[in-house]
Amino acid sequence: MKGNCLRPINRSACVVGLLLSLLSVGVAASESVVVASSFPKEVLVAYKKAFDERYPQYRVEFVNFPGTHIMSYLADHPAGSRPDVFWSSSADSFRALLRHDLLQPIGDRHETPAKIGGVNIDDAQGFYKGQALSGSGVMWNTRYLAARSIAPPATWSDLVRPEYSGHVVMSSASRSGTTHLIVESILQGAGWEPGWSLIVQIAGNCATITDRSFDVPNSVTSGRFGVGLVVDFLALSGKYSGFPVDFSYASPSAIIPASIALVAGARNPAGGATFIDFALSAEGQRLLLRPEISRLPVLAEIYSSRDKPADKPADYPDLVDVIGSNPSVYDPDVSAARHLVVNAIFSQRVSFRHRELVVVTRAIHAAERLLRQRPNPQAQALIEQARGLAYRSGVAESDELMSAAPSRAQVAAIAGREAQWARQAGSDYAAAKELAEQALAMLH
Amino acid sequence: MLFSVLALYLLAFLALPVGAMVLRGVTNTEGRFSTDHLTLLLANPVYLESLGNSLVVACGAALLAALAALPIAMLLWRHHVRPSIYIELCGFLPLFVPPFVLALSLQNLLGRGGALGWLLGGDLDPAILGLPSVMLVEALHYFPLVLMTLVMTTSASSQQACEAARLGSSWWRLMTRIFLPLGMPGLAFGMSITFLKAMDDLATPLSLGVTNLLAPQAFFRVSAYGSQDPLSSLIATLMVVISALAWLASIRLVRQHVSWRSGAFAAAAPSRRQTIVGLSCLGGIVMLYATLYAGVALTSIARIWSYTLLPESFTLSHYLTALGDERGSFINTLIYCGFAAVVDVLVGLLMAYAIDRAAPRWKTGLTWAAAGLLSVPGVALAIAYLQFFRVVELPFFNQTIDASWFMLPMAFSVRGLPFAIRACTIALQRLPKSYVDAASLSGGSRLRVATKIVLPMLAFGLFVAFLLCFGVAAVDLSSAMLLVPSETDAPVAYSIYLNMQSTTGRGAGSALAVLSIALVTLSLFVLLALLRPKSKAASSFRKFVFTAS
Repeated sequence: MKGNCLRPINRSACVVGLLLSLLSVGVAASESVVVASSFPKEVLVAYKKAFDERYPQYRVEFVNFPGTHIMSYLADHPAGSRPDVFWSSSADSFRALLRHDLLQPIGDRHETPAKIGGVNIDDAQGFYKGQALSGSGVMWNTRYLAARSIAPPATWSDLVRPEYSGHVVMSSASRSGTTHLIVESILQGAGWEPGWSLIVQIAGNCATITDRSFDVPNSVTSGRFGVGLVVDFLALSGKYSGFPVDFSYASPSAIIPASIALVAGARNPAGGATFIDFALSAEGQRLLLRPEISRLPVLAEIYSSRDKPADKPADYPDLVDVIGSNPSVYDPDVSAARHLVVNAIFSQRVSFRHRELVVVTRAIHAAERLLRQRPNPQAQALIEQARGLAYRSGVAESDELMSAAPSRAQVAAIAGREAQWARQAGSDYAAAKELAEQALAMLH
Repeated sequence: MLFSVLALYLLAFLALPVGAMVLRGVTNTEGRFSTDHLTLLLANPVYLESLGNSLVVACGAALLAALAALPIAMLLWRHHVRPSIYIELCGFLPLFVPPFVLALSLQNLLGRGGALGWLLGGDLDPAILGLPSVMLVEALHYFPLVLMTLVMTTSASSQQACEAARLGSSWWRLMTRIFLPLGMPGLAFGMSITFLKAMDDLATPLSLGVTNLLAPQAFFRVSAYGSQDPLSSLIATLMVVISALAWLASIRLVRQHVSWRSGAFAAAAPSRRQTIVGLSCLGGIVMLYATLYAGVALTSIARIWSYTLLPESFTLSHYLTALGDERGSFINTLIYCGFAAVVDVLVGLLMAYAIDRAAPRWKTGLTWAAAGLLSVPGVALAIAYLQFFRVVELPFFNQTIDASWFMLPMAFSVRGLPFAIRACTIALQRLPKSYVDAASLSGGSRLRVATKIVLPMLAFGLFVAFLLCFGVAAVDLSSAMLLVPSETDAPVAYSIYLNMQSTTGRGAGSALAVLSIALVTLSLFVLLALLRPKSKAASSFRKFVFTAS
């Protein structure tokens, strides 16, 4: 009797099986071009629409994740199931991909320059090409700052001032390629220890560390927070879309090309190459000037194009000015070698310990405020000690992990050291807080 | 044959991947048992803190939701207010809407940039509060579910029990002796769902910038070091163990016998006062949620909203963008979730049948094991799939499984299976044996009996199972975030998440969220309205939640 119930199920199972195989055929037969990118939705949608229209034989699909994660992503995907194109601002990732033979050459048929000012746009061996330029800086919400009578910041070091406490927002170096770039350019420009001190102090003034880089411009444009550390186009797109925000390039900052490359083991290399050609063509470059994108094209003719003056807002940053005013000290090789370690330090000392860091920073600010009114050498020494403990990396620049070749072994080694850094950060912040409170008690 | 297919499915998509993941966490590179990874995990205080935080958030959310629901449910029970089936259905909406939407809505409402936060100033922004706000968002999100499961179990015997017990009993006695025991199955069900979902939630803590929880930590490790990372396997295993324990703890309470005799519903028409109490209570709750979601609703029509009380200019273009660019994600959702739900109904029916036929000593074990599936968190399942299917090629195609979207519906189907098994068990129990016997004895062929008697009688139950599994899959963001192969293949819940990551306001994401909430509500109501005249939709829907064994 119960057997009666089973027969129709058996049939449906066959139907489902059939359906399944049909659907799989659909997946395999599509002429899709898969682009792995960390860019915001606005950029991706604009390029998808334009490209799909221009090349009807292809259909662009995007895989969106932080540019810093491309290596682990490709390690998880064998050749033949990888995306075709990698398009990101994360210069380190391109270096790492090149070192692991994960890119294929894209030829030299493009009009984009190999070098602008002192900045190398393309890879010397022709494996990846610069598609847009970006520098980083601070963006702020004019209404937010005016309401609190806070002056707009001009550069990174302004952001450590106590009046910015709780009004700043930044993303995490390990979750955002552009934030990693900001952190690394500060480290290279200011030096390892002074650089970390500056970064940790700014983070101590942050209201929150956002998970992805997009949340930084988003919080500033909406006025949730006043000031954000961003790469230029994330700020400019808000500005030219009509939000009351402004942006200033900060120093030290690296002018870095956002690059595009063809992935080795791509499913559709021909389609991938077509997408790259499109992104580097005048048509693809002009898309960058759209208000919701607002990136700096690498093709010089776009800036001077008189046929479409409406494309470009009047006070749009000029490529040459931007490059001239920002002497780049950035060495991508140094950055690429210590990529994982810098991310791990940032995670363990800043992202995962942000709450403690904010408490310490407030205590130090409070003690310093009193110290200015009532100078006291003993209290000052305590505060200096607290600063020394709280605002440091806890890792020497000469640490052996920095130069180790990235491998499974290094990842295991980092996991072991991460535990150590996490404990160190916890005890540093606890000790610094106690010192700052002692100083405060002394000054009362 | 059929049962070997079933065994193969469970083996390939549940037992082997999860088993391999657990093994990866406790073996070294040579494949020998080793506690190295565990030592490494315990050495880092961040992971221990995450474990504590996850427990606090999940327990706290379940307790908060219960504490808020209890007095309201008691009030409704005391006044014999019996919400209509449509309102009860609203209580189940949280299962079909991702909680991070509420988190973002609260950011818009309470953040300094607009609305209440702008008006009051200060630090009301949920991202500044951190951990407590994750707990609060989960509690607020699942409160309607806890309330409605509570109302559904207590109102079954509302009038009789209340009238009988009222004679000479104090309020306190009434509550502890009658109301709580009656409501316990509903309360336990609602609380355990809240616990499991809060433990598994990835998008909410990420939206709020909270990192020190198990799900985000496992996610960070996989995205930074790849799916082969043994520490992420260990964290995921830990999540499975905690969820399983929580489920086991609640299962006894959930499966208590609840009487559904129709006599229990035969109540007199409610008095005027009772109607007013009921309406104002439920109206208040609806108003509260309308306010909570106002942040997203306003953002979806705002062009520029920056540091002002309300948006300064409005536009409908976000809706056009959402409808134009994201149509694909609706279709994806239909395909994945429909596919997953079909698999669920088939497997669920088969498993329900197997459990029904099993020897008594196996029966309890099997039932528990089936319900225990609910405790495999989405993050853990996704990590297990990424590790396991990495090198498995799709038959006939030169493509590995993880590069296609195939893993998504399979993960969704495993996650929906406990719901499917439960719904199918009820459907099978409602099948009158005598009809089948009579039909076979009168000479009907097996096929004829199946198509004319069995399927029509099972149809409604299977349909409910399909809907539930579809809904559960549609909102499963934790596994989708790890398994989606490309944005074009993203289901709606993930598309909302991606669209919220724009640089110029969250308009398109908010519009998409509003659209999908409206769509879910509408389709639930329409389906119910269509089904109601034909079948006792209400009672079988209620019965689904609390199986009267």
